[in-house]
Amino acid sequence: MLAVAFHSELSGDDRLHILFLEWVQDVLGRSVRG
Amino acid sequence: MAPDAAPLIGVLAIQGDFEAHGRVLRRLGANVREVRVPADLEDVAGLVIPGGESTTIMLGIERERLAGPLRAVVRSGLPVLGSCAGLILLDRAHLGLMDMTAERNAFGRQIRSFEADIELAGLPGGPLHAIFIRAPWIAAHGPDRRDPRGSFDGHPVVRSPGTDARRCLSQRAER
Repeated sequence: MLAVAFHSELSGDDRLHILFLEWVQDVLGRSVRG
Repeated sequence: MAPDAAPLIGVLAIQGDFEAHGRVLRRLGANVREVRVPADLEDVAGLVIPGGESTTIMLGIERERLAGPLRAVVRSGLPVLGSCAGLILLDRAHLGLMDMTAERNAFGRQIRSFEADIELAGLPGGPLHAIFIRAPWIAAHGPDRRDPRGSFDGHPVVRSPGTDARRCLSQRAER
């Protein structure tokens, strides 16, 4: 789990969501971002 | 990204800014499903719990009998990102999935909303640009010394007790 007290989905900085998708990719064991 | 390679990400869509998370995730190539009832959790590869009114979202979770299924998928290892009210909902007093206590509106009411750059341990590329809207902070948490991973004005605002999230952050820090 990753919990943050703020919003980055509104800030234009996508790195937290990229990190999240990489984490999902890691769990799935397959490529997410071609 | 090939369509069949895109992971399916659930975004809890009871109330709050779930549409904004969906837009970001789609732009990054993910498939997004709005989660409103337990059946919506089927086959999702990750879950986002968005910001909003934590009391309203929790009432919706109880109304739709989502608490049990949410706890089950999270405890099974599903990656979860909680933002603002999402952090509150993960704490001891709500879904009880994270060993922490969030203090609601800790940074002040709506008029006190602000933007800030947050150093998030393990996230390369410099501080993360963040927006605090009636934001909580983490008033108490378990004994894990590696958390919190970020703070503002001396208050913890990031927590990642799961080993998967921490490993991902660590891998990025090593690149």
